[in-house]
Amino acid sequence: MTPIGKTGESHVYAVPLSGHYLLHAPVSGLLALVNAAAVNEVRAYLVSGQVRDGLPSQLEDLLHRLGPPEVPDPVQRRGPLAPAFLGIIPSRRCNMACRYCDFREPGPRQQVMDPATAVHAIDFMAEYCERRGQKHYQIQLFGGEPFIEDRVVDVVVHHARFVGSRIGVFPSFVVSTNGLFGPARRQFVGDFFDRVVLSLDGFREFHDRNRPISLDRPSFDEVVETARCLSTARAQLCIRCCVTSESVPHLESIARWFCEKFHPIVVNFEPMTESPESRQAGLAPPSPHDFARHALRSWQVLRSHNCEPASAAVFTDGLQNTSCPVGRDAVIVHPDGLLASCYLLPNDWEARGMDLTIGRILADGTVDIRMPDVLGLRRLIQSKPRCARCFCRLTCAGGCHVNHSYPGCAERYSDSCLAIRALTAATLLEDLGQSDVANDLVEDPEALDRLSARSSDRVLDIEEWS
Amino acid sequence: MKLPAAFQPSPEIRSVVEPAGVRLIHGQSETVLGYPEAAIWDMAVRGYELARIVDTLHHIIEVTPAHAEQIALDTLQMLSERGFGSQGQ
Repeated sequence: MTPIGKTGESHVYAVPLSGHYLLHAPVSGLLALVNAAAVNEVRAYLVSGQVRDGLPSQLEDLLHRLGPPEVPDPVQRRGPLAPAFLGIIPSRRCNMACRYCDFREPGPRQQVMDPATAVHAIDFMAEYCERRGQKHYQIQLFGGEPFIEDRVVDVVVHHARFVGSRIGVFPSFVVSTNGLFGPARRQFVGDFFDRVVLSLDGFREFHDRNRPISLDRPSFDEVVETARCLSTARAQLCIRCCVTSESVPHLESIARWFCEKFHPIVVNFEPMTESPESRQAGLAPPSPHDFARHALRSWQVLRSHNCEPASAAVFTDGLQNTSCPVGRDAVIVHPDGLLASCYLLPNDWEARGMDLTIGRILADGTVDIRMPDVLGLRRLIQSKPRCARCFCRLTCAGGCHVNHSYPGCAERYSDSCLAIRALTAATLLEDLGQSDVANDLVEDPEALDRLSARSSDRVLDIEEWS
Repeated sequence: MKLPAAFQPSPEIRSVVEPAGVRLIHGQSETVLGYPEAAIWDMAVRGYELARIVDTLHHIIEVTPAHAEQIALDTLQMLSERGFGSQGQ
């Protein structure tokens, strides 16, 4: 017998597949396809903390590789403020009229950033990095549409580079944009940005239905021209494609078209989030299982073109307990100088009973970050009942804390959870070299239903299986 | 503002953005513009009116608009004299 002490919480999961189980222990990095008898032995080990004598050597080895049955939170952020990035929202306004968009514009006072606000934020971040000996940091621009306030964007890019050239702390720039640019702006974005996340919803019929400039003015040609220009620029092109029930059967051909036409480095297919606006427009999200099936196929197409499929919930750099800026000490500057770790409107998080602010830029330019509020957000992300028993807990980590895994949200899996669970299981199987099993999973409605119906994947929570 | 309206870059100049500035390539010769000259070059080649260059520049380098105007004028003149473009009237 080998006793092992208990120190925290179990992160050992068993995901049912047809005839076997995917054993997933993300903390120890153990991944295996096993049968029910092996899962029972894992469970016995987790309960007793001891490896039973007389087990087959392969199983004994597997239990030893699991490590301690329970571990402290493996990804809890500790120590002083360590911003994942500096976010800047130049404007809340937008020059498109996307039919699924539920972003509401606030009052005019809150819509546009004073350039001096951006300058103060950049000075703070650059000096902070200099004090810590960091040579690089990232600035992410959000909106509305950031380039509506192109004067603020010009100041952000050139002031950050100006400061960097003096103190040796160099910014990189990422922007999420609708791509409605003229030629000069396209050139600027391609030259000065490191990564451009461009919203393009696939072929003309889908994009123009979803993302018009106005009721009678489509945007497809302008956005495609931007994508074409960026495809040969210094900036890395990432395409974000919102997927509806209408476009989901075409994901593979859309993926192929993106790769052949625009050579993006990353493509992110995201299922549309249903809203009153989308319902009014007659748009529906794809069913989670349809999305998983077509997304997995489209990812294979992307990889065959050396393009990386992206999903903040499925593909992660190691383990995480948040897949959004909240809890990562992100400093996001709202147009009125409010500092938060979320780019949504304060009204949105206040409606969920949360306060995601971490400070403010004061009238004299002082950047006042309240560390107790930063610590509060680090704690907030540790308690998400919907995620507590899901095998994706340390990768997906629940998505948006305001619209998805907010305090008091339903514990049952959402449609988004169901798609992510299927895609994460398939991705883990591919990592194991079991691509056929992965394909079988997403093509088998019964297997997907079984995966959807499980309230807990934790091996400790399951009854002994026969 | 009694200033040139625009700056026309020479068509044969190629520019490459680098971490601390912009490299201008003219045939076999190269010149690196540091800051703030790199910002002025970028805005000028995008066709900004001088008033807009000055307004943006004073935020970028945190000087008064008058000081920013002088820096912009000096830079555009330097760029013209070195054959990187010409100032409009």
